[in-house]
Amino acid sequence: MSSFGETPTGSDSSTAERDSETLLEVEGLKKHFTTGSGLLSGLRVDPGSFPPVRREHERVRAVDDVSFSIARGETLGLVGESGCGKSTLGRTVLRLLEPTAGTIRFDGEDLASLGGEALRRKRAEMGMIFQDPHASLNPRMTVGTIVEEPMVAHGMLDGEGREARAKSLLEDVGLEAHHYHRYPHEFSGGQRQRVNLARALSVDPDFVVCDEPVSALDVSVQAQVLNTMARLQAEFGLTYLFIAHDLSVIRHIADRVAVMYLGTVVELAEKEELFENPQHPYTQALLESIPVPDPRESGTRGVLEGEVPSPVDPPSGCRFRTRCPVLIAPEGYGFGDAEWEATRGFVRAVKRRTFEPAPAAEVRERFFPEGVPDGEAGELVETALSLVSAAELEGLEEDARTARWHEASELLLESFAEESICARERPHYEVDPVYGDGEHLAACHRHR
Amino acid sequence: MAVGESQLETDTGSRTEVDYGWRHTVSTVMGDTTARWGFYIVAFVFLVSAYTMVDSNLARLTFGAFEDFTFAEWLPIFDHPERIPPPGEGESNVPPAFHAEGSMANPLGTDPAGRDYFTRIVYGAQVSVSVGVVSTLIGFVGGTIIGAVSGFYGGKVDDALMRAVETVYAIPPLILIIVFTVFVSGGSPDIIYAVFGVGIAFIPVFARIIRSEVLSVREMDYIEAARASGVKNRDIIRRHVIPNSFAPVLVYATLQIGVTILIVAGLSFLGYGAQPPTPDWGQMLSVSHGYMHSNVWLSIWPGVAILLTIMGFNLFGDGLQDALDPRIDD
Amino acid sequence: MTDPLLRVENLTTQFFTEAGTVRAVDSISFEVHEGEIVGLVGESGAGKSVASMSLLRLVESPGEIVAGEITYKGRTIFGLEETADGSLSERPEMLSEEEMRREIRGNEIAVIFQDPMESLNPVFTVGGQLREFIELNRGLSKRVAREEAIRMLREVGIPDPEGRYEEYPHQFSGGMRQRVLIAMALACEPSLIIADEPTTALDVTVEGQILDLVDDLQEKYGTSFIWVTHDLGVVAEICDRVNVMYLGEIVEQAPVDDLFYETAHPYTEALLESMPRPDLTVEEIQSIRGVMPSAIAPPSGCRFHPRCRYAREACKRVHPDPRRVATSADGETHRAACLRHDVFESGYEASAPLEHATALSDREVERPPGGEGGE
Repeated sequence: MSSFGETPTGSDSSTAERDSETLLEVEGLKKHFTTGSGLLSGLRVDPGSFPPVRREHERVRAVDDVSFSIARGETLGLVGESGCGKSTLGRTVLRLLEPTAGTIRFDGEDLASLGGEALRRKRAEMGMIFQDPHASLNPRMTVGTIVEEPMVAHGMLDGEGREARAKSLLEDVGLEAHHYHRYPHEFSGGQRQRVNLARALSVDPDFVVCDEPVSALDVSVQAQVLNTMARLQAEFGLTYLFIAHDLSVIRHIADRVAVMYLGTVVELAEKEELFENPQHPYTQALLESIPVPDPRESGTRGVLEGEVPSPVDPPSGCRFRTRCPVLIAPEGYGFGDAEWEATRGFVRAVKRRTFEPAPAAEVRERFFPEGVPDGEAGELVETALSLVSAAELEGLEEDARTARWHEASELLLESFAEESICARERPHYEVDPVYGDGEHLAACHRHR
Repeated sequence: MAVGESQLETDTGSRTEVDYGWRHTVSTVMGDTTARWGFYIVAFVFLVSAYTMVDSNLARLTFGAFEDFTFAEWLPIFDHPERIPPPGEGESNVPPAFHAEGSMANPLGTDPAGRDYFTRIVYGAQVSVSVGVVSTLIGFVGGTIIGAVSGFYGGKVDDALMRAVETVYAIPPLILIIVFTVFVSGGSPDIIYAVFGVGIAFIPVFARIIRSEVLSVREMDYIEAARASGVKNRDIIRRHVIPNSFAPVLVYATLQIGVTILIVAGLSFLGYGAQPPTPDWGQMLSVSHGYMHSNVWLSIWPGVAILLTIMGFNLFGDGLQDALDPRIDD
Repeated sequence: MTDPLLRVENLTTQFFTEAGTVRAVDSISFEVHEGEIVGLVGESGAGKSVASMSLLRLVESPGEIVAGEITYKGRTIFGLEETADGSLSERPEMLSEEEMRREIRGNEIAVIFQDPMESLNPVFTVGGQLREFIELNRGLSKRVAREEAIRMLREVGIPDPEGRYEEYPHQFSGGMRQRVLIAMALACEPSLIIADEPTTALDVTVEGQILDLVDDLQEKYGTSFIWVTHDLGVVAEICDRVNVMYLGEIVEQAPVDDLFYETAHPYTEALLESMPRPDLTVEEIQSIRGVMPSAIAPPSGCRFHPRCRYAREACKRVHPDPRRVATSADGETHRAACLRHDVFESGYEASAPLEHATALSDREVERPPGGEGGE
């Protein structure tokens, strides 16, 4: 992952005037949370050891070794599903959360090593816009006070100057100067997001992290706010880190896109390249899943099975391998493509217990119509088949049955899935772009 | 501006917006009959105690150039509530005016020392209100600071403060207060020690309420927005956290004033609070319980006074809760 | 065509609030036939959820169904008649509250809500809740109901259904909880399921899984769906026919293909244009000017006219009802409530364009500050 953040060279295909100077460079950023913070939390009693009481915490690896960079004036879209760590990443970049490891170089200075007052002053150069238009404005403050607050914090202008600036900002974001004295509850969701924008811009920052700024808005209002954000970016020379779960919005606003899955960036490329030539199976699945507003385009959907694993104990190697539809066959068994396909289907079915117990022959016929693979692989499959066959499970208690299923699933996973290169190495590859000439990174072993 | 107004009619009527203004709060409280009566009682008690302050201080003053002018000409003046009439002047244990043996000179009768009971009840309001307000204020301010700091900073600070608070919380309040009073006063109890004792004993309660409010407010995006803008922590607590955590605590404080009055009355009754001759309702009850059979009125009047006052604060507090709580507002 | 499964005529639901009467649903009519998925589309405040809840007579105070007729399989769910003294009263054949509860809700018409956490009780196991539901509604014994519950969980794609039967709702992910609700909705094999934004809270890959599941199940059980959503993408994926709602009214009613390709109402057109596309890079998206006005005092004439780029003088005066504007290839009716269509004969062509519409048709993207609409 180490080179995931090289400054894109000559990456300005669409916006020729874009300054290629790097504004933000994040390297090896990690943010781990420990669960529970109380005095006695995490205390484990283990009479077998000495001392018999230990303290240990589960670590949630919300962001795990992420690197990227953003050029001045550019919009980097950060996309991923809920729980992938994109919001945590956005907040850690702004140092609203303490990074566990890594560097955040902003305009040449490492934010991760700044502290106290120096960090607070640095905040005049950064802003943030939040998802929830209801929770992000203090209900007991007027819009004017809200917009002026950052200016007050950084000692910008005098009272009159601040009021004048706040009023002009309100007009810039598409509100009106006389809204200055109103309270947030008098506004609709879209208008509140505009107030949010005005606040973020009040100290004239260079960089704004936008955390799902339009997700809570209706489609028509969403378009209005997106257009305003694009206009302001040009007017104020802003650099955006735009976090969203909606790929359509990302496609509209971003210059480059990073796709996150379970705390890591799995693919990073220029917008056209990423949408038209996705190289990571997760990105491909995401793109295929979006319902397209066109009834003649019968989308392939539901392409991904299963659920995102827990970030407490993420899969080894490639994070996506447990759900990957194109998991690479382990070496040493001599799997053919069709054999591997059938075996994977069987492994998944056993793991998820998706079929009712049946005679071994019946199950074999269902999953391996072409016959089980030869050699060692075949023997393993047969063992698993007999473990969960109706004959074996007959007359067992529910607990014992569950244990059998478990045994079979463990055997298969350890012999096959865990042996794949996908489970043993962290992937990190650069691929040649088809659209544009920007860097295209894809964390998938198929590109080895 | 008509244009602006029409713009704001955007949210459909199915969702009612919450109004945070003071005007809204006042109109909600006054719109509710029960809360309104609560407010009237509280206001009455406050007025009475304010008047007794005027009565005991200003009314007897004279001003240089206007030597002839005294408040006494304008206002009804009470006797000093603590002055024991010399032998022969006042009769003791006179029943109230409506009783066959009573007279309008002592509308509520007199106490065993021959003092006018009406005067003492009226002056008792001043003691009770001061006691309630001051000790609640001690708990409120102390609790707000501890709770806000604890909830906002979290982590070790929170651990340390909350464990300390819980330690205090674990001791039964009455025992805590009595031990405090005895210890601090060095054996000569007085109402001032009781007031502080009660105030301190309730710091943990306020701290816990404020903390839980702060914990939920802390998660709001506008706090993070303020942090992201570089607003100092001190200002975040002052401008965002406290105002938004305030409402439920304010309600609790209003209810608490009633509770403190009751507790201090209880302490006085037990002899750890107000000492004779202070006209305190609890202390008056304490004296009167020896006369339950001979003059039951001595117990009834302070009892009624305490009951009314506490009821007033409770009704008012409940009304305030409805007015400040957006969830009930639909 | 055969008799529809559900027929809604002139349904009107209002909320009586302090601020005034909210006309949440204003005289809408539509039909649902056997085995089809009918979309009810609109932005927040369009009245789509209220409309769907009205079908089950589950509108809560201060809301009330004030007019219209709802017929399900020939039975009257709601219907009024004029009495001798001129006031309206419920018709005698209208189902009683008891009949609604016992025979219709859950058994004949089931609902799937957006937030599955609110529909599941957090203190009981998922399996237990499903089993009890089946036990009560289908009169099965406890043991058989348990087996049926596990079968249903497997049917809706819950992995390891035997193991997860014993787990609590909080141990399920959002997508899994939604599957449980689908299992519950299907448990009594209803003929109609009302799905109220069932995938809105879900991630896109999970949403895809759920849409797939619904497709499969619909094929297997032949259930009809009313799919309430704001997402035209989902509509395109799953619906057969679509009703577009704006401010309490149905403005367009069409088979899904016609809605997207023969769009007949400016609101639908504007909605489609304001959506960023996942499959195309669009440099500038066309936003709809302003926001939906209040449903307490809707605009005169056509309710969309203040935001419509084709609005003319006539649109302020004449209130259009959805009329047939075309018939699709397979004989389906396409209705739209827009005066631009000839069937209205409202003098639209002759009247003068409204000022803002002229500005809008110049492809104005941003609303200038101080404009009339606002958002």
